[in-house]
Amino acid sequence: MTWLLLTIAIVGATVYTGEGAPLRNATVVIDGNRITAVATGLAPPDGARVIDASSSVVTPGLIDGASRIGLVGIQLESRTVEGTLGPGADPVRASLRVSDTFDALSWVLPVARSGGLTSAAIIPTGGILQGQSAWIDLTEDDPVRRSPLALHVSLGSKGNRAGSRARAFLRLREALEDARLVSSNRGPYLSRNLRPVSLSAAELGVISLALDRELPVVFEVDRAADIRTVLQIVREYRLRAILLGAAEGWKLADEIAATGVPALVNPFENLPSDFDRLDARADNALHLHRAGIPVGFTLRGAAHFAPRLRQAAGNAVRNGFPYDAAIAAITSVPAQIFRVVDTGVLRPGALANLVIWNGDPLEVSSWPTRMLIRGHEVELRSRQDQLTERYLTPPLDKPGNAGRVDTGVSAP
Amino acid sequence: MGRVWGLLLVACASTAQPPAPENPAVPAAPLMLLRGGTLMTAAGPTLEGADLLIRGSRIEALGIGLAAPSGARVIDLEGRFVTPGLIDPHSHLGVYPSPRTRAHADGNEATDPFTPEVRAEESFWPQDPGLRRAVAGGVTSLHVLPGSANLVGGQGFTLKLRPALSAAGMRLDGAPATMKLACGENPKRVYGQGRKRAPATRMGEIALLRSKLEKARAWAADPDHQLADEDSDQATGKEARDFGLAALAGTLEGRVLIQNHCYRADEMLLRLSLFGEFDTQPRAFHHAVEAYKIREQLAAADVGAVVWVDWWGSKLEMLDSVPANAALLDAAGVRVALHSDSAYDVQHLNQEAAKAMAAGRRAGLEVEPEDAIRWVTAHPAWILGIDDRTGTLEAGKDADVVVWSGTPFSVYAHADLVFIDGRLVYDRARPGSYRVSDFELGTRSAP
Repeated sequence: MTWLLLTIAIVGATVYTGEGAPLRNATVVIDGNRITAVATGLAPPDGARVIDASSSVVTPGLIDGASRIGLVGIQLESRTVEGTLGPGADPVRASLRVSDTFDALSWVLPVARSGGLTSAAIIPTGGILQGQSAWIDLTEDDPVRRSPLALHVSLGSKGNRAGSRARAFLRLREALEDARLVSSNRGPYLSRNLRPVSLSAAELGVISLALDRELPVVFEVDRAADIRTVLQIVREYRLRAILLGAAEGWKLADEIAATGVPALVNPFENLPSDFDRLDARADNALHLHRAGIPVGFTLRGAAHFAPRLRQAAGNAVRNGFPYDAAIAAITSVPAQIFRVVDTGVLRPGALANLVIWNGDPLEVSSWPTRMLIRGHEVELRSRQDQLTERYLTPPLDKPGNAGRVDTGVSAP
Repeated sequence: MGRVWGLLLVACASTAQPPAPENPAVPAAPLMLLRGGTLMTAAGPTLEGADLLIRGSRIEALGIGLAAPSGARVIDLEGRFVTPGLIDPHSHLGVYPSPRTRAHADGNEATDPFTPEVRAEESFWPQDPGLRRAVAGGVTSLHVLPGSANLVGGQGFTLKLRPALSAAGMRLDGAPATMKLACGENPKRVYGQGRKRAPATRMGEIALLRSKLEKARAWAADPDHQLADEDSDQATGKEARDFGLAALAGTLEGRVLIQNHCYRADEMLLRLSLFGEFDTQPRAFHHAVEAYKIREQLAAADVGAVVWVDWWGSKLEMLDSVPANAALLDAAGVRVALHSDSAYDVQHLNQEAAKAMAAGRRAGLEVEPEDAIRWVTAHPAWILGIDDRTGTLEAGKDADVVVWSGTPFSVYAHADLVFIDGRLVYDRARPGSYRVSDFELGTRSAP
């Protein structure tokens, strides 16, 4: 369908490509759903629709590497909460796929877009082996780019309902061992000549993909001691691993770097908010970055708070994180961590997911003015905007209006 | 031995090099001039290149070209921004402290839907690691509330963030008593759904509260139960036998300020109507995500609104939250304040104000920094009834003052210096200048 799209040229902007220092007075040319050129002072191609973005900033569309948008409608209404299983369910549910219940029409998505998000890794929650994530673009038309994206494992003391850390690690090791055994003994397994295994064939199949390094494994873990154990398991099973959370990661930064594991962290986390994070600090991300670890920022499973991703990045900068790396941490790095190509960057050949901002994208006083997803301009208007517009005009019950509600209170 | 030597060395160093007069790393002097700053007073236009004189615990004067009285310590602001200390009118620090655990969960006396007799001050843990982080965000006063499980949850605790070993040591003496009320989903979920007892519905909540308020009115009208000391600013008097009813009666007499957790516009109007039956009204609705829908009524009744910027959707009654809420309310003349309700967000109320201002502008409203600064200073002070003491930079007010590294409406701004009652309690250049909680000893969670 790309032939329906015009060539678009965004001119005069300060362009953060997602990869290092910005280009000034730059032009971004989009043909169809791809970017064809990004350069300083480039003249727009003949016939292109020109968007003047002088005094504006252009970034790749923002990406949260661990989000719950499209999976949570209202947190306390359990029938609107997806990508999880009820309280009584087995904490090992590797075959759960969040893409099966992702709702691109959720009222959360337009709010997330108003914060500059164009893509996200959406994640399961609850359990130990929690299920499989998906990569989505925030569009209603064919939103799922990749599913399964990764296998998710939660090993912290909270949330996984394992009862104890030891039990969580036990179930994980049991699952990995059984999957390895079955993978290398397919015949005996199918003819039932193998010792009993702990999980169903479907579960073992998913875990085998992780053992074969076809599926990365995201470990949500915060306590330094637990991160150390995870790194041992990663080396033992040669897993392609990603750390999620890693609030105490700064204590093990060199070991994480040596194991070659990237991290998705929340820069807001500076409180000992539970016993897994007694040593949480505001400069955790900075320490990881300095050790050479690819660091992406995430709001860790946020749905309604999704627009705060850039505020999180701004606060990382406030606490010493380099600015260009902070832009990368919410654009190119999450894409690289999950090996989603041509995404989170502005360069020829990349998918045209981008945002035009009326100021510094990490500054809380600015906001996105325009957005393209796969080359299509998306209207930045949420249900919140509709409510605001409705109530900008004199409210229904304005004193003196017909239909006034009698509050029983007289003005002093 | 090593420790003793360390102390001696420090002592020698300070004798050899007396601190320069502009060195802020010295405890507060009784007389101090902050010179050459951009003063956002929350009481009028921003003053550029202005000075602020602090004598003892009070602001003595502010203006351009103030002369330094003899003996005054002078701090050169070099154009940095100065604001009143920020005030969070809705916090659970100390009653739901970090780490969040059952052992620490002291905010909801969820054993009965009416517990007006309990006081947040008597659950407050002064070692909450969240407190010093709030100060580092430029916050000088908090209103710590019981939770919202109960229809009447108990009395709030208005404090200043000076380090202390007891809640009493932090109390803002003279602050009026406050009473936390809740409506909507929480009480009916906790009691109706959780305990199979009243209230199970919103009409049940109103009916129960009405009968309780009627009891309080009768109690207050009965001379045998009258408070011993009418002038006491405590909610309860010496001869009171029913401390809960005495405190509730205080809400009818206006001595105790009603702080009502409420989300929906229709429920806020119902509450105004109910309180009107008893000739009283709330000082403010808290959370108030739909306050923008009834902003003219709130303005007419002079009821404040305490709101977030971007919290929404965790409950059905939070669905209609809009980021422009604060700006819409302000434009209608409602005294609107921003609150954190969070150990994280209390650390960047200045950013929340900037977001609320930007949301207003995006909606087409004219919002100036002089308006937005009041949402985190003067307005919460009024809502807590402490506006005669703090919340603005004006002569005679308590010297609760923050010096910012840049405009406070930037995500990159730091609170460089925080003064409470004229004392420098936090200096960003000196990590550990604010007392680290005992709980954090043995951890490595630097600020």
